[in-house]
Amino acid sequence: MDDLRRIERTADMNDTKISAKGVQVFYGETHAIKDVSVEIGDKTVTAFIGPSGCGKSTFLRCLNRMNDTIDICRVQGSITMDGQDIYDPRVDPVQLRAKVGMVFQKPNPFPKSIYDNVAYGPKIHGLARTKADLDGIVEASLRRAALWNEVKDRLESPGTGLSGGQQQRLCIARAVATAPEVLLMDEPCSALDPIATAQIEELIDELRQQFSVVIVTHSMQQAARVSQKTAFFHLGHLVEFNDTDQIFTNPQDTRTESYITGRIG
Amino acid sequence: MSDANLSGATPIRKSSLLEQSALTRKRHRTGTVLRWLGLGAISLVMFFLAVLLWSIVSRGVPALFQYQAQIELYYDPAFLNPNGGEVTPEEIGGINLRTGFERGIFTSSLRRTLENAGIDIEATVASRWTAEALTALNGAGLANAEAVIEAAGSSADAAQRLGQAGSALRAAGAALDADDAEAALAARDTAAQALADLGFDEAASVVAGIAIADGAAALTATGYQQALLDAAGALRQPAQFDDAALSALIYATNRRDVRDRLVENPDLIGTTDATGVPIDISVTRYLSGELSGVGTAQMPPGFDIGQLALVDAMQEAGLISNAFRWHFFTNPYSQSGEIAGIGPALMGSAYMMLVVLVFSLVFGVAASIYLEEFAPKNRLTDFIEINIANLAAVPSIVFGILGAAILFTLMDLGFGNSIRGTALLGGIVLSLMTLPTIVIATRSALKAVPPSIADAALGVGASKVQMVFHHKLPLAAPGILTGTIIGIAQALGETAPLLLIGLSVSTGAALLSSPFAGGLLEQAQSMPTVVYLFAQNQDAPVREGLAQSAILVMLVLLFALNILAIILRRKFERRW
Repeated sequence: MDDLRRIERTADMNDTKISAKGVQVFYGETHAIKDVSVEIGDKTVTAFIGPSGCGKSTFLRCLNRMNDTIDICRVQGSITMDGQDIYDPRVDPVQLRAKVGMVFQKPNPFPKSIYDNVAYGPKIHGLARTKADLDGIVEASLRRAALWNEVKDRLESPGTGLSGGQQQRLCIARAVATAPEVLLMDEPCSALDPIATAQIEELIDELRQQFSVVIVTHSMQQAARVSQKTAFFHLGHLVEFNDTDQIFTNPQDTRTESYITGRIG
Repeated sequence: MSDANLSGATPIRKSSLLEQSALTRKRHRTGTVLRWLGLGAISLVMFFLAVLLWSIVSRGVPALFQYQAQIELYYDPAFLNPNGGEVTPEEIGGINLRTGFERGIFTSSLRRTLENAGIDIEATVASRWTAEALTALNGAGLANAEAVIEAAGSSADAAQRLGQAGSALRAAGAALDADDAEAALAARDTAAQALADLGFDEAASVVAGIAIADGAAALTATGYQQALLDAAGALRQPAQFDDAALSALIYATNRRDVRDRLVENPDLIGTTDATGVPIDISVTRYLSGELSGVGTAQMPPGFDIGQLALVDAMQEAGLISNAFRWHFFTNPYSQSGEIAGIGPALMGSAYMMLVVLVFSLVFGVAASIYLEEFAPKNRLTDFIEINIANLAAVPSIVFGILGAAILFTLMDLGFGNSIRGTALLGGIVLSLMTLPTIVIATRSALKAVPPSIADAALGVGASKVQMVFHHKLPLAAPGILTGTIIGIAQALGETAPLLLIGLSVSTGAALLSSPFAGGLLEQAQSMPTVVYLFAQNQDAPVREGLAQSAILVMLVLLFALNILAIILRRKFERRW
């Protein structure tokens, strides 16, 4: 990474998009997230790293209330987006999830056509009035996900017929299509080969122009490559949250240092 | 520091890889035994399946064909219009079907047809009985019996003379056993004389040679007495042959149609009409070779060899054809196998399946979606779940009792009889029975949809209802369809509950009208109950033929349903 880009990145990190304060998550009796506070900037890639089971995915799923679908999960503390509490009883999670898109670990396109995969979100949220509108959204989303050129001739073929990397980009296109403000990515590259991973990482860097991106990753190299901010989770605690450069070059906490040097994890 | 070198771990054994250890051999043996057991079980199942199919097909398929007598029906003016002049439709309509039309038109037409074909009915019957008498006489060693019968002139005379000789022998037998030696000798000689008078000289000398000491046993041992009496009986039979015996050969199934046609158009009187009239169903067993016609056990019940001789003659003359029993699929149930059919039963079953499909699919899928996706997981829903699973194992007759209870309640409320034995009630009862099957199938199909699809849908902001209806349900559809079709196929074959709610007694039910025109509320029959009725019929050909035919139709339907399930499944699964 050259210095020029690094400067450019820091210049973009201005205001906070999501602010979490004192978040506690319980799965039944298990205390999964312990008092996590984090500020996620707009037009920034924030990476959550940490060993397996440290709660980074759980915390990510709090940000678009996907945890609501788990009966035994309880969330305490406050998470605000643009100053509004997303756990306010008046907030409809359905509306929230249109604003906070999500990409999952395993590519999970719907068993429908490529077109329908991308068009589904805009359709249910009423984002397109005409078929032409919808076509435009689909094309734009696929272009943003760097998939358009590969699939433009076979939009009606099943999304499940694409390769793993293409499927994941299709999922990104699907998430992008609802015009979210934040994009959550839960280990988006863990099921992909290095080439597909490189494509997705490049894509993430480009997506940062429009969205605030939060990415959970197991790979410290990936976090170092794509993110500007990094949060290190350990055993449900947020150990350290800082600029990515700082975390990797000058960690403040010994646990962070042990993890990034490969001694725990 | 790890404990890799901890002592007390599994001891290291030295052994050759080329030799099987005892334990390995034992494991292989177990595997072989299990493999053979499995193979044996499968073979046994296949064997029983083959036997079952064979017994159904070998009886059911021939029963789908019916022997018919090709008759020139003659609308005899002498019978229909005995007084001459103008005949009114009312007069024709007033003629009794069984005593009038059957004899007056059908039997006389049969006689006419036979005569036209060059068959002398009386001679055919008589010659068969004469042959029977000859067989009896020759069997007993009474040589030149043919000449004796011919010498008697008519068969009636021959019967009388043979009978007298038989009686004389019986008297001699009785006398021989008595203590009076003189009377015994006299009776013996009288009997011998009777035989000699007939022309059985050899037999006469045999009887005359029987000593008193030999007793009646010696006389009986000759077999003359039995043969003479049998022959006399056989020779008396042709005189008994009358219209009733002729009429019994055919089943005048279409006599009502014929009467209706004549009522409509009296101008037909005096014309002829070639038609096929079913042969009596007991006789068909003789025609199909199932009964040989020799001896009492091989005789169609209620028939004698004279009638069979006529049947043989008709067959020789090409008057009997074997045609497919099309009316089996349209006619209503009847005690008489000749005209019995499964038409209303097929319709009734179809209507019930329709009711089952609507009720159990709608309620079943709705219940499953609620339980699977929306219901809170607590003790109450656990309880409901357990009970649904148990419901699937409840014997079907219990559902029948439930249906009967509904019926009685409705009767108390005043509209019970209108619903008794209807397809609607039957369908509701069968729906209750099918519901658990569909609920279980639907829930497992919904469970089988990968959670990642639900995540994906929720992730783009679909509501739970949208997630279920846009994504989960379409993916679960093949499973739901299969479950539904299996449930419906199960319901199609269910008998016990239907017997309890009156579908077996509605034997008079005719073809139903369309479901939209109230067909669901008419008296209905169903396939399984008709099979049950067929299997209880008094006539063996119905019990062992038509019942199998009806079962065959049911099996074909079930097979078609299962094929449909597979096709639908394939079609929906192949899409992606």
